[in-house]
Amino acid sequence: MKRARALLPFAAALLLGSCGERAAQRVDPQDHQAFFLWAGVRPPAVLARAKTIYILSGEVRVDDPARLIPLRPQAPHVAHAEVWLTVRAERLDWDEGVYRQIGRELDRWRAAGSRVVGLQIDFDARTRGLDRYAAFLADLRRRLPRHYRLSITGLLDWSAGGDPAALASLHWLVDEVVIQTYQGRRTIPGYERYMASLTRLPLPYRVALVERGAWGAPSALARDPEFRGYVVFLLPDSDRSK
Amino acid sequence: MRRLVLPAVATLLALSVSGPVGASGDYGCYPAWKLPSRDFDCADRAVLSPGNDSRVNLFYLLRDRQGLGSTGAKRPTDSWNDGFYGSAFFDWRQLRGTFYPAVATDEADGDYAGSRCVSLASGGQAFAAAMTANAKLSAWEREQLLMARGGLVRRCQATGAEATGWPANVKSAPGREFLGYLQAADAFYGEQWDAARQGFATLRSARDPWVAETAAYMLGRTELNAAQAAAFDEYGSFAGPAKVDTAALARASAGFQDYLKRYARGRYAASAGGLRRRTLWLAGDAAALSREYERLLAATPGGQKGAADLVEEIDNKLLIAARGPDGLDGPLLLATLDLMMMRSAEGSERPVITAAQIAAQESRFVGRADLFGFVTASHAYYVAGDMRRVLQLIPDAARQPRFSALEFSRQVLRGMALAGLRDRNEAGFWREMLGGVDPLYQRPIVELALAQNWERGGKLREVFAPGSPITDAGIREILLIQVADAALLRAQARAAQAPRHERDVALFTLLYKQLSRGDYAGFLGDYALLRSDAKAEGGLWNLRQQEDVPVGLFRAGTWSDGYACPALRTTVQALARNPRDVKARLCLGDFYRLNGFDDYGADGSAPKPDELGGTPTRFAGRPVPRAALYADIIADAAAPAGDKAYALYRAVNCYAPNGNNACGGADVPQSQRRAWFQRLKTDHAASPWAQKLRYYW
Repeated sequence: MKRARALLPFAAALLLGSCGERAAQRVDPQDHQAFFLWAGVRPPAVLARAKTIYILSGEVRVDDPARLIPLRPQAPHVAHAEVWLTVRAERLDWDEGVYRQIGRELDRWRAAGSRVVGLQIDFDARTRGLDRYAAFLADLRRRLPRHYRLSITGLLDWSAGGDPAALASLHWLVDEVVIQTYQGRRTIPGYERYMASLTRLPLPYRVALVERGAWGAPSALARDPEFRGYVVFLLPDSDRSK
Repeated sequence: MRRLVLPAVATLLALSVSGPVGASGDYGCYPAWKLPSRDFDCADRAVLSPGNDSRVNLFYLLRDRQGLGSTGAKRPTDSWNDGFYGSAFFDWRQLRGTFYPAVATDEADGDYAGSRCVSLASGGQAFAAAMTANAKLSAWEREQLLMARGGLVRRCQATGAEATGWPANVKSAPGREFLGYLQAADAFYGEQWDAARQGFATLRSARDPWVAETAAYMLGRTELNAAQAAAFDEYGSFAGPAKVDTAALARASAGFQDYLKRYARGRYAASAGGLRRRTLWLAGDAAALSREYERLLAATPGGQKGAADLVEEIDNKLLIAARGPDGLDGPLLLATLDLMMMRSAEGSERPVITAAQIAAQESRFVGRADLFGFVTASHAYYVAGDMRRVLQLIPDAARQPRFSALEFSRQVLRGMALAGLRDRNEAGFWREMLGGVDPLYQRPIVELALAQNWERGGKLREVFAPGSPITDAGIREILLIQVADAALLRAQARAAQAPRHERDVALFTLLYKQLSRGDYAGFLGDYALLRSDAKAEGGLWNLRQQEDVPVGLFRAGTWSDGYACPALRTTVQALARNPRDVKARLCLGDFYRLNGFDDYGADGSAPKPDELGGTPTRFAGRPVPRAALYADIIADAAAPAGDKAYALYRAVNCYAPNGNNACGGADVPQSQRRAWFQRLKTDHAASPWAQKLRYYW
C-alpha cells in the first residue's frame, strides 16, 4: 500500500517562509541523519548514511529491578556512525547487577567494533519526579566511565511543567536530552504549544520525531543555541522503500 | 530446587529479537478519554479492541479461556505514574503488574544475558553439583576439573581468547567424561561449533547421567548457534530466515526433539521447548509456530506469570511479523490478529482486513461462536461503521452477574453501537451493565460511557447528583474543568460530601473562569469559598493529577514584580466597579503572568469532540487573553501615559525571548511588535519601561 508522502523534503520546507510555524508535514527518515533503532525494527537502508544512531539494548522492567532484559540479539558493530547504547527503564531502583550488565554491554558493543559514544536512559520521568530522577542520574554519572557521554530522553511537557531548579540540575548531569514529541506512532497533538516553551530548557537538547508523524518546525527552534537537531524514531515497516 | 537453567521463555527472549515497537509506555501517554476506537492508542482498555496493544487483547483471551476473572487483582502502584492514566486506562506493563505483582527474583541472569554466555554461571554450578553426585570421581580430579571450569569465563570476556589449558592427569573414566564435557563447552563458548558438535555428540552416550543429558541438550544449542551465526546484521538485528544456515537449523530442531523425547521431564525440558520454538521462528515457519502457540495458550496456567511471558513471546515472534491471517492457526491468535488488522491503514504495516476475509474464517473459529461473532461485529463497528449490524450480531445481555473479558467487550460494543445510533435506551443499557462489571478496569469504562451520554444529552447535573454512579475522579474533574457552568462549579466547590480534590478543582475552575470572562462580581462572591489553608504551590500544569490544587493562588499568589499591584481581590474589586480600569487590568495581566496562567487553559488542551469534556462549555462568556488587555490599553487614548508605557512594554515582552507568544490570542506580526517597541521608545522615552526594554522579538 502506498503511503502518503511529504509534499516537500523537510530541508526544502525550511527554506520557505521566514517566520511562524511551518505547515505540518510527514517525517521522512530520508531527510534526517540521527535515528532511534528500537527492538523489533528491521534496520532500514537509510541507516547506512546515519551520523548518529541510538540503539535500544535492553530494558529494566517494573516487575524486576534485578535484571536488564536484553532486547537486541547481538552486539551491533556499527563503525560508520556514533552509537548510543539505549536502556529503557520502567523503574530506577536498580540492583547492582544491572549496572554491571550495562557496563558489560558497553564493552561488548565496543569490542564488536561499534563506535559507542555514550549511554542513553529512556525513562518516563514525570515533571513532578524530576528531582528524584536527577539523584538517580547523579549516581549513574559517577559509575559511568569518563569516556562515555550520558543522554536521557525527556517528555515534551518538561519544558513547560518541569520544576526549573530540577531541570537546571540535569544540566550538570547529562550531556543532552532528547525530547520526544510523539506517543505511540503519532506526533502528540498540540505539540506546537509545548515547543514554544522548549527553548526554556537549560541544556543541550535534540528533538525526537516519529517516522511518518506530523511535524512542522517552530521557527524559534532553529535559533535556539541549545538545539542540536532531530532524531527520528524508526517504525517497523516491511513496506519501507529501500 | 536450584534453578539450573533459565525457563524456556526467558531463554528464547534472551537470544532473540524482541520488544515490540509501539508498545505502550515507551513514551508519555495522555490517553484520550473515550471508549475504544479503531486506532492504536497509547492507553489500553478492558475492552478487546483494535486500539489496544495486541498483548492486552491476547492476554485477556487467554485468561478468559481458563475462566479467570480479576478477583484480588490490583493496579500496581507506581509513584511515577500515579493518577497519570486515570482508572479506565492502563498499559501492558500495568496490566501485567495487575495480575502478577512483582516478585523478588531469586537469581539474576548474571552479566551475560542476551548471549550464549547467559548459562555460564548456572552451568558452572550444575557442573560442580553433578561431579559431587558422581561417587566414582576422585576428590583430586574434581578439584582439577573445577579449576579448569573456572577458565571458561575467558571465552565470554573477550572474543578470540586463548584455549584453556586442560589438566593432564585426569584419567578415570568419569573424569574423562567431565573433561570431555568441559572441552566441548569451551568450544561452544568460544564459537567453535564443529569442535563443540563433535564433543557433545560423543558425550550423549556418556555413563554419567548429567553429562549425557546435558550434552544432548547442548548439542541442540550448538547447532542453533551455528545456524544463526551469520544471521545478524551490523546493527545486531536478525537479518531474516534467508541468512540462517538451514542445515544446521534442521539439526538443531532434531536435536531438541531428540532431547525432549529422551528427557521429557528433564532439567532442560522447558528451555529445549523454547529453543525449539526459536528454530521454527528462525526458519520463518509461522504456521508451525502458531500451532505450537495455540497449544501453549491452552496449556499455560493463566494464574501464573508465565502466561504473560508467553503472550509477550507470541506478540514478538508471531503477531508483529504476521502479514495476514492466512498463516495463523487457532481462534485466539486469529482474533487477536484480526483486531490488529482493523486499525486504519495509515501508520499500520498491514492492509485493513475485509468483512469477506473474516467471514471466510468461520470454520477456524469452530466452537467459539462468541468470539467469531465479536470479531465480525468489531469489523462492522470499527471498519464498516454499520451500527445496526452490530446490534444484530450481539444481542442485549447487559444484565449479567459478572462479565468475562469477552462478554464485557461484546456488550460495550453493543452499547457503543447504541450510542452511534443515538438510541434513547443507551443510558439505561450502561446502567444495567453497572450491576455486573468488575470494579477494577471494567467499571470505569462504563462510567465513562454513561458520563459521555449524559454530557452530550444535556444531563451534566446527573453526573454530580447525590448517589450518581459516576464515581471516577478523572471523569468528574474533566467535566468540571471543561464544560461545567458557574452554578455547577459553585455547587461542587461547596459539596460537603465530595472529595477535597474535586472541590478544589471546582473552585479553581470557577474563580479562573470568572476572572478570564470578566464576571468580577461573581468572583468576589465566590472568593469566600476559598479555604484558609488552600495551597498556592505546585503549578498549574497538571491540575487534575497533582496532589494539591493550587487554588490558594487567588488569595496568596504573586501580585507584582515591578509595576505596583495590590492583592488580587483588591484588583478585582476595582474591576467590578469599572471593568475598564486601566491599572486593574494591567494588574490582572500580571497576576496571570506571575502565577503560571500563561500556560494554563490554552486551547491545545481542550478535548476533541468525541472525547469526554469535548462538548462546548456551558460557562458563559468568552475568555479575554492577556494580549487583549494590553492591545486595548495601547489603543485607549484616555489611558495614563505611564500605564500605557507599561502596556507597550508587556505587549512586546509577550514574545520574549524567542518570538513565541506567551500571552494568548492570535499572534501579531513582527512589524507590529517593532511598532510597539518604537512607540515606547519615542512617545515614552523617559518611562522606566522604555529604558528597561532593549529588544523586541
